[in-house]
Amino acid sequence: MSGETGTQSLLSIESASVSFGRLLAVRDVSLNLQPGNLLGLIGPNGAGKTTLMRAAVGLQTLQWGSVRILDMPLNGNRDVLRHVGFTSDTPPMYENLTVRSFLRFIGMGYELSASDIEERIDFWLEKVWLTEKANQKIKQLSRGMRQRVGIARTLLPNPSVILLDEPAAGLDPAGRAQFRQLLASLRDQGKALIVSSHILSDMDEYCTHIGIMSSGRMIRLGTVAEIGQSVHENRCRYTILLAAPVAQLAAKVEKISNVSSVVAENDRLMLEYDVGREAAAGLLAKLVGLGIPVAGFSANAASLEETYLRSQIRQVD
Amino acid sequence: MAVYVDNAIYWAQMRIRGGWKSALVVSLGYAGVAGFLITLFYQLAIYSGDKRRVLGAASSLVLVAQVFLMLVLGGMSVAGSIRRDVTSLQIESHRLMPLSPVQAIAGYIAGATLQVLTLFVVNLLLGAVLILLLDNSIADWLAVNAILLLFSMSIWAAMSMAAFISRAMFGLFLGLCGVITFSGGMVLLLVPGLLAFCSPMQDRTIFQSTSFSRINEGTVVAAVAQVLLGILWIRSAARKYADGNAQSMTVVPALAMLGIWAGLSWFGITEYSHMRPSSFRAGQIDWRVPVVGAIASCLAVALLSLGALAWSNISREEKRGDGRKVRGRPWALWICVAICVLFSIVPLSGRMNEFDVYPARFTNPFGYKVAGPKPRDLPVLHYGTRPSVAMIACACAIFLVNAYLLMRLIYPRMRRANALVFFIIAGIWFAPLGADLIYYNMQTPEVTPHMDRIALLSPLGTIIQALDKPVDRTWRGLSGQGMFAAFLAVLYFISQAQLRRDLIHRRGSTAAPPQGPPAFQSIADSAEAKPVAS
Repeated sequence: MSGETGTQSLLSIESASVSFGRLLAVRDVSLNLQPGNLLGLIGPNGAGKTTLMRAAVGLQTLQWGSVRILDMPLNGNRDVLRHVGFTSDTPPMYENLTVRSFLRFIGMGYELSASDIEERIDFWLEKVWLTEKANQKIKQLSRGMRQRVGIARTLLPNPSVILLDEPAAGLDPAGRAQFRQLLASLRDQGKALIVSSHILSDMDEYCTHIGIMSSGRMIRLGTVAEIGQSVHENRCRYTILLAAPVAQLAAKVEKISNVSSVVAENDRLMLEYDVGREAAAGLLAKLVGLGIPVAGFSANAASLEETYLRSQIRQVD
Repeated sequence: MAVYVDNAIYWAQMRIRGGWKSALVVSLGYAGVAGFLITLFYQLAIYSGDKRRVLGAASSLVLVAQVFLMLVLGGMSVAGSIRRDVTSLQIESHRLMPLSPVQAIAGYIAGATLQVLTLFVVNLLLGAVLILLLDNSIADWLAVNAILLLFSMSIWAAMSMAAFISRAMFGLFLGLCGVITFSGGMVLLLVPGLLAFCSPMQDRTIFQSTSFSRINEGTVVAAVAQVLLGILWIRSAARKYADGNAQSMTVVPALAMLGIWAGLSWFGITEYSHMRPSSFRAGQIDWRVPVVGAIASCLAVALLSLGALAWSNISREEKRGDGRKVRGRPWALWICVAICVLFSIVPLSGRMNEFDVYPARFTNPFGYKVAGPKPRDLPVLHYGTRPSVAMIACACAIFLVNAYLLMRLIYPRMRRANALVFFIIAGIWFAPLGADLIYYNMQTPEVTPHMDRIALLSPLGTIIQALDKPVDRTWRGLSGQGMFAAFLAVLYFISQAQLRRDLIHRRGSTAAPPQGPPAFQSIADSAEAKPVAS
């Protein structure tokens, strides 16, 4: 279990900072992944997620800080690379090779034996549902299929630390569901994973931990439950449907004590208020008391998406 | 063998080009077409009684095709395969493999040139058949191909390095090939180091079908230099393969390259009369031209080590600005400049044959050698009236310091700084020479222009003057160059202060505590936490 003392750290990043000229893309990020940890990295575009992942596998030079994989420093240690797998959002491939040839090339690059390579190719092609496409050229594949080849490429050498940047982009709904299962099974095998994604509803399902990045900083990091609690505390977002539009709705609602973040649209009202059934009943009574024609009333669940939206992260332009 | 058999990059590059099957089909198709055409013309030649001429022309064509294949197609294949992987980011996928960078570069070269090499073998066999039909020496044909193969392999190594640096490098290489081709090899006379390096163009060149170059002293020296430089270039490419942000050539390998080049330049001058292409044997050449060319080319190569030093010092200062402890090395520049100057004046210790310098003394007006004392090999400086090595060394040193200061000023501020540095240096070298050329053409169009006025502001002008009999103005010109160096030094010290401020500003912005709730520690400390955070 990751919390036990003495468990080997699979990936340890200490005070990592990456700069591009004057721009600091990653600022002083530290984290430590143990077997079975699946960290979901979320944040707006330009938050530094990809840069952090690239730095973690040595593709990006660190301005400060260090990365250790299985307690071995990454710098210049090529043997460490056997234990790391990384897929970028658009995995690069040799278009003119067939899927099998490309994966064979990857196996050779990791110095696997010929029989081992074939065995692993069959195994992973089945896992990513590409067995029928094995002898098709990569240039003939759709984006989603390429994404699957990219995942197979990453997993072929059986790395202990797996970093996937937007792996579900381009996958169809069925593919996403299968992919979630795959990630969960890798997590249960004791591998350490970092997955960056904008599909927050999926991440709720398979992540053990969540890191929220903004402007290069890791502004929140912890288990999924903890992240939810840290943001929600005693507040909840409510969505109210109106039977008819109300003039100066926002101004009216803001008069109710403890109400905040009011967003009024035509026949819809969103606001933040105290959490709990009694508080919800009280809020409903006050709204009705103000003469607002409430047609529907719901307290939003404390999902990851909700957490992220409530983190007040500014979008990077 | 591991490089070829187990090398993943080689395997992939080979497969991308269709593998062995495709290479064999292309080669057999090419052999069939070429064989058919040669047979056709041979039969026509028998009919017309012009057999030897047709066979001779066919063997020359095979050789031209061989050169085109090996240098142009081979070079383009190597550079193209690397550039494609760099631009498509495939190289990043490769970097994650535990493959040694040198092995990867060897894989690129071997895989990308597989088809070229199979066609090379086909041409070799076709040529051998033609040579046998002509009753010429098959050993000569094999020697020619061996010379070409080794030279091409060193060019492939250079291309692998160039492809990692920029697309412009590939253009530069093609430009150089174009200059050599369109000048008919004339440029080799101006740069003795290049003459000593380009073994196919030495002496009778590989293109003279009646008397192919044999393996001689020049070929052996060129082969050794090609291997040594090839190793340095592959090492540089391997550094860029491992880390795209790394310097391709660090100071010590760059100095080693300068040393090899200085040796080649010295050898090129000393063996000038034997090695220069036979088509350029006739006519007198100003003895100062190859010497100045040798020194100038050494200075150009020295820029690599200064560039490496400049980048290294910039990076050290950035680290220092970040608050890290970096040991100072105040003497590095001066040691580097001293070594570069020493290597750059090595060509002055070369010897040239009197016959090359004063052919009129040893031949009659009809071009036949006259009886009398044999022309001697004399030290280069012997031909000057009162040559000044000190002045040449000073000009070299000032130029190198200028170049270093320019690099330090421009590198941190521009992305493609090398192009600007290149143009400024070209201006410093050639603009003053051009000014004197225009001045003398306007004043005394009938007299060969002297390089003794504005040209003295150029290091080349100073070297040209100092080789023979420096005029009084030469020291003034040198002072002018020194003053420019002082101006650059002042600019440099001013800019350093600004750079330091920038670094401190950046450090300050990084050191600022993260905004937002301190979730990192507090969450990790909580009882429920699966401690991602330490």
